[in-house]
Amino acid sequence: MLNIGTTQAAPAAARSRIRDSVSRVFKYTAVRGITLLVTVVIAVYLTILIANGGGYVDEMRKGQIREQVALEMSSNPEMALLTIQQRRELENSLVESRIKRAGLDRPFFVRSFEYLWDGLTLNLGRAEYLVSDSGSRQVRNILGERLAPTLLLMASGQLLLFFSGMSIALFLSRRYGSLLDRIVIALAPTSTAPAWFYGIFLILIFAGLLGWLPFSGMIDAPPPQGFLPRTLSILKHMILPVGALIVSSIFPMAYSWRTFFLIYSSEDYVEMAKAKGLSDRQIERRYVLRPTLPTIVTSFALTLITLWVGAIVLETVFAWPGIGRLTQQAINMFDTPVIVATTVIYAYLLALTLFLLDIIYSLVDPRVKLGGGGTRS
Amino acid sequence: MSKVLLDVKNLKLYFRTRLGPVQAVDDVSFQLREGRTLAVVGESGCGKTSLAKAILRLLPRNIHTYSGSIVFDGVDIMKFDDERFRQEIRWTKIAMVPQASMNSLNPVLRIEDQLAEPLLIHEKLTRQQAAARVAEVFKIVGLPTDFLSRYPFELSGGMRQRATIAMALASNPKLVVLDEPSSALDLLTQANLMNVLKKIKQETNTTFILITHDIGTASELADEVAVMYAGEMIEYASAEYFYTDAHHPYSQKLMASVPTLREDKELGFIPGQPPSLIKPPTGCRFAARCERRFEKCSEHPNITHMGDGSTVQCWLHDKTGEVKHA
Repeated sequence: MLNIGTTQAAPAAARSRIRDSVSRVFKYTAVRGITLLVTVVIAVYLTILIANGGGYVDEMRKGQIREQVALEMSSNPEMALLTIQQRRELENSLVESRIKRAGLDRPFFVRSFEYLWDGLTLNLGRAEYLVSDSGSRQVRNILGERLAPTLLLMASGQLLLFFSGMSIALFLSRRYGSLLDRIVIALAPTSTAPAWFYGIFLILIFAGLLGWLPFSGMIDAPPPQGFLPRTLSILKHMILPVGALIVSSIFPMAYSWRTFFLIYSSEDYVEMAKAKGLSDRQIERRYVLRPTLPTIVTSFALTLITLWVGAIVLETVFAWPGIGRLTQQAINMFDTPVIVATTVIYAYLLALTLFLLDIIYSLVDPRVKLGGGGTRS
Repeated sequence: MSKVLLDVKNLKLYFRTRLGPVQAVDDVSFQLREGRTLAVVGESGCGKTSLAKAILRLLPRNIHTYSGSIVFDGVDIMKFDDERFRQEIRWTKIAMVPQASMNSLNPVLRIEDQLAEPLLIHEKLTRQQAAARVAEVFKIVGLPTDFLSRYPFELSGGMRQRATIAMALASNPKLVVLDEPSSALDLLTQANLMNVLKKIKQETNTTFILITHDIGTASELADEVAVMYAGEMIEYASAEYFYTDAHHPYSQKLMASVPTLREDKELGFIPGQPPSLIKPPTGCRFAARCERRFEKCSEHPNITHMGDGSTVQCWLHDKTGEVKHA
């Protein structure tokens, strides 16, 4: 009764299926990557245009140079020996050479693209005031020191948020209408306040009042010796900022995801899975969680954008030595190269997060295809 | 005569609502022999689908009453606990093609995986054995096997419906409940599907319960016909008698509303609406719309066994009551 032909063809078919999925995911991510890169380029270019007042800053700088030259000449007694004609010529040639030295002789439009390239490659020269911990003035070195703490804090916060949010949402969808469910719904408006706001309260309670956890910073001072004590110290310092991140987003997330789960568990194929005699666990995993994942990933991507935006103040509140704190310091000291650099880095980080989510999205939803092929059944 | 496969007695399924219990299936009893096809017909909302769900124990959360006995293959499956019911009955013995079955495939899993799933779980087949079986039923329902590795959204509605039927057949169940398998399809696809079902019926010894409001299509397949009205099964007859000589006034009206090709008849209709299932009339539930009602109809009619083997729930045929023809 069994068909032998199909049995032998099965491994080959499986192989071609895998090849299909891989090429689909690869194509999708490649196109998404290019799109995101273009987005980053446009964002950085717009920042440059805005920071330069659309080229008007050039006029201001030229005026500044002219004024300075005039000032220098009038305070130079030797100038009195020259005729007015000679003085004017000297002044003009001085102004011109200084404008040339500052690169202001070429049109702004051309230079804006040079700025763009320098910005994108983080070739930002020297900071004006800020110094890296190792004593370097190179913007790149300053950034490099600050990147790892930010990644550590945000990545662990986001991953924890995703998985805890999902398991809470699944749990609530199983017993919707229960007291716990109603409590989470009631707490959903907590998202109106940003993470740093909760951070202040967490510091007050757990550091100030109870004294269980450190107020701020990333590691004890002086730093403990050895890998394990170091890691533990960092973990201890991470609890409050990560906690603040989670408190600020978990309730509305669990609420909306639980609703997604409820919507998807009333789909016909879920009842069909039940009729097929699958166990509750199997149904939950393959027929509720899997079809809901694309929706959840999308909603998570939106949450992440707000999280990145809030990171600047969160790091400042917790004196966390990351990019956000650096941005705040740079703004305070008006250190333009660093401000530009942090802006670019944030654009990159946000794009990278969205890119990773896009890859995950294309992995979990086979309907995702390029060229408007996203027909939904 | 083959043996009785399904013996349903006093099956009740009430749903809890704010206004009171909805009596979706009320005291339904019938027997179905192996290899036969029962067509359950009736208007929308008369409890046909609830009957199917009650047999497969696919119950929503707001259950008020779920009682009676369902003896399947000699065993009362109502006494099984949920876990035993899941492992021993669902899909291994009774499979189902649900209403709007084109939506009953998981959009993010490949068709092959979904069809093979119950085989892997219940029969503990290897992946390759399951794949072979799945390919086989795919051919039975007339789908090319290269569609197996596709996702549901890549198939048309009719193909998905057939894939669902293939899924129901894959585990060789004794009973397949088809809940309006063709209602969302165009006429050509419908006819095609009916032919597929007929072929399966002839080739295998599968018993079918076909739930439909389309009496005409049901006649293609049915060996017996059950008419449901307002949660009750008011007539149960073999198809050969039912289509020519239905007993219950409602069944007669229902038959009169079906257009036929060869006869030139004026289509009949039934005035009024079926009663609410929340507080149905205590007497005959059809009385308010019946042209032949009389005083007795305000009492609940008994089930009467007729000479041709059919049962009917109507005072007109109850020998113990006064029979009065209008």
